[in-house]
Amino acid sequence: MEQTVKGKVSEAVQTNGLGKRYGSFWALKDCTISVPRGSVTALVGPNGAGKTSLLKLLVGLNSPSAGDVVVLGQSPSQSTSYLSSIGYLAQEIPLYSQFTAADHFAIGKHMDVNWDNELAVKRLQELRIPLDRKVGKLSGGQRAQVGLAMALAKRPQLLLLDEPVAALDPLARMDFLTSLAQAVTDADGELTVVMSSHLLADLERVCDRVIILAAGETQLCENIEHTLETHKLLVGPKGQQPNNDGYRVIKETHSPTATHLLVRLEQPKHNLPGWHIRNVDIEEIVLAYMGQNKNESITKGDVR
Amino acid sequence: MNWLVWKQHSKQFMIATILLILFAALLIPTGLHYWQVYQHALSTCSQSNTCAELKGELFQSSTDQAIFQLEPFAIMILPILLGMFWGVPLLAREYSEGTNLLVWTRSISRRRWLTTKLIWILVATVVVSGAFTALGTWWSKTPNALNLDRFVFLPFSTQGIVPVAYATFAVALGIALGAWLKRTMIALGLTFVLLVGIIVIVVPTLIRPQYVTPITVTSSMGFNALRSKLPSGAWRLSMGVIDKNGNTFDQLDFPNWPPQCQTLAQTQQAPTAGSKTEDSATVDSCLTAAGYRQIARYQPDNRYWEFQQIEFGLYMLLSLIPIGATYWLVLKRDA
Amino acid sequence: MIFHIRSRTGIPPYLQIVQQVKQDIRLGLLKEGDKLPAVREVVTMVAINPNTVVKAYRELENQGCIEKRLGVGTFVTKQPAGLSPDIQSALLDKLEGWLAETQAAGLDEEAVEALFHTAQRNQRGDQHGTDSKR
Repeated sequence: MEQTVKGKVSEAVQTNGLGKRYGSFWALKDCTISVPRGSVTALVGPNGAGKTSLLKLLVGLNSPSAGDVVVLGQSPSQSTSYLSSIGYLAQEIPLYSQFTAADHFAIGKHMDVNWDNELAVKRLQELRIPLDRKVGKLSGGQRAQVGLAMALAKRPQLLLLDEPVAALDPLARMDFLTSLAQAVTDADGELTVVMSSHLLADLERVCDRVIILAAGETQLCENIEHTLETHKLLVGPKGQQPNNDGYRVIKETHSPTATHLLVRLEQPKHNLPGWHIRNVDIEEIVLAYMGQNKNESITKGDVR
Repeated sequence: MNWLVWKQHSKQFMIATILLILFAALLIPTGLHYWQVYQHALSTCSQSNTCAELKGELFQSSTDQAIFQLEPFAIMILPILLGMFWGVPLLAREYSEGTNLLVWTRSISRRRWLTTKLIWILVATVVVSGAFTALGTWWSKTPNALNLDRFVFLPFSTQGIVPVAYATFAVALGIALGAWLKRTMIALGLTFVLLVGIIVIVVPTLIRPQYVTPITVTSSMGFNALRSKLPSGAWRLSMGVIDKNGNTFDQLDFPNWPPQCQTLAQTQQAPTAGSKTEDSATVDSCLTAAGYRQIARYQPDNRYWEFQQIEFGLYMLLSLIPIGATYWLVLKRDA
Repeated sequence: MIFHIRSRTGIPPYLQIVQQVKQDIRLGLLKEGDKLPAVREVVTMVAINPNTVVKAYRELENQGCIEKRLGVGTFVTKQPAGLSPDIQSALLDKLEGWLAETQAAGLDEEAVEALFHTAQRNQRGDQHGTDSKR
């Protein structure tokens, strides 16, 4: 169970100044991230932040307009050797609605070199999902599980999931995340996962790293516990000014009676003279980073 | 991969097969019957020397007429239907449902996926359209013999080998438009408009007549003078009148006649050039004497198969454009 | 043992596991020699990253609360010395008395919590103050 110790030096994903332009619009700009092997990374950010664009670049579905990307030591391509090491579940979980789950697994059997049919079938049987019913007649949660099985039974080294739980009810979402967490456990450190989502609360538990994309740029790329330990809400009396000593203000709000600062501390600490320190969850942190960007753009607009 | 193609498209293939069986069920008995009736009529008419009138006598019932119109119509729309319902959905449905992302992230390359799909659908297109056309061509031997018109627009376009090439082109075009537009309904509409425009309008009227330089024939004025010089079964492209300076007219209107012929005509009745009346003979010779001649351009029947081959090759070459575009769209365009 | 992971607390999930195990030991729900669920069982139970469970167990091991026996599982070691039942019940009595007072003063649950946290912070602040004087 010592996944973290297992030594694989290279990163699963490494990008440098990666960008994607559609026409004159940059969907993703200057994205520099690294994803260690065996980690489960949450890719968060508002709609249009470039999450889907980034994932498609990693899968090799699209080619970059700028920068470099290295995935599992290769540059993404349409070749068998690359594709067989990547599992991908696209947004809205596309499946052939007229096909049964078993039909889909037959696609895998015919088209995937490392296809593990037993694994795929076992996963669905455990969840009591009928293999012989057209997937168009399954519930959203069941379809998501079929999609996940399609990606996992490829036996990929890197699993890329684009908003897999966005459309699911809370129960189905939890089931999906359980399946995912089990798969990560069973892979014993051999599976790296990058999952985009805007349902932040769920990510905290399943993911051990977070990448925050906002305004098409990377805001944060690090261990999620570190994020929680270093981001705190400072509450002080009204009018108290931040002295920026050992922390960076991400978001500042003033109420009639108090000043609230959401800050990033340089070192995790539990004490700052004059301030009450409160924990914040990942959702608040992400929202703060998004808000920061919104404010910036407003200021820029004012200047013009 | 072959398995997936069959799994996805077997229903479409079955529908086409059922339609083919229905078509055969209509054409085989009627084709045999018409040929028999025609042969029988031919043997009786040759005794009484009335074979020229057979065309207006045989198969005049409304049922027979309906079948005679239905058969070429069916073969004419077959390529268009294949382009719309086989070609367009092939990729448009994958794009619109996002399943392209599912198959493109399996372990085989997009190129192989596309090539397999294209090969199967194009082979199926050739087989199905070939079967329909062979059946239709066999059935058409009666109307061909009776009307001697296999070179004109509709019979030419619905017999021989050209319908197979139309179908190949139509399916290729449908695939490319579906891939380009990614939406089935819009691609269906555009495919229909383009195919009707190309196969039914532009090529038969503007391009086909030019494959080989037409033969020009002239004659003196008079109703039968020119007609008797046109070989039977020829595809007549134009008929008109040419004056002594080489100017051609579709029709020589009375006010343009030379005065002496106008006067001559006015002394007689029905002053129309080339009319059937006995009196017009003198008017015709007046016009002929004034230097007017009738002129016709046509393609003779013995060029029929040459034309079939040229048009077949044209459409097959044309098919390469949408096929190439499809490869580009699938392999190079962002998903 | 059953874990509960709560989102939106700002407390990292691994720490939540650590706290829950220690609390269960403190409350006597887990005794020496009890087996903790395997990583995969925890993962299935609460949809959590296995590395988090591994990290929590390692932390607990470092603190001497549990020990790993190779190929067998993870077991609770010794109970921390903890409070004697006498002191525990004496403190509980005091707290209950204090709660009765707040009720009498008409404070609702939130107000009580706020008071409690303020007191905690003041306590910490004092400690900090003495630290910094040093």
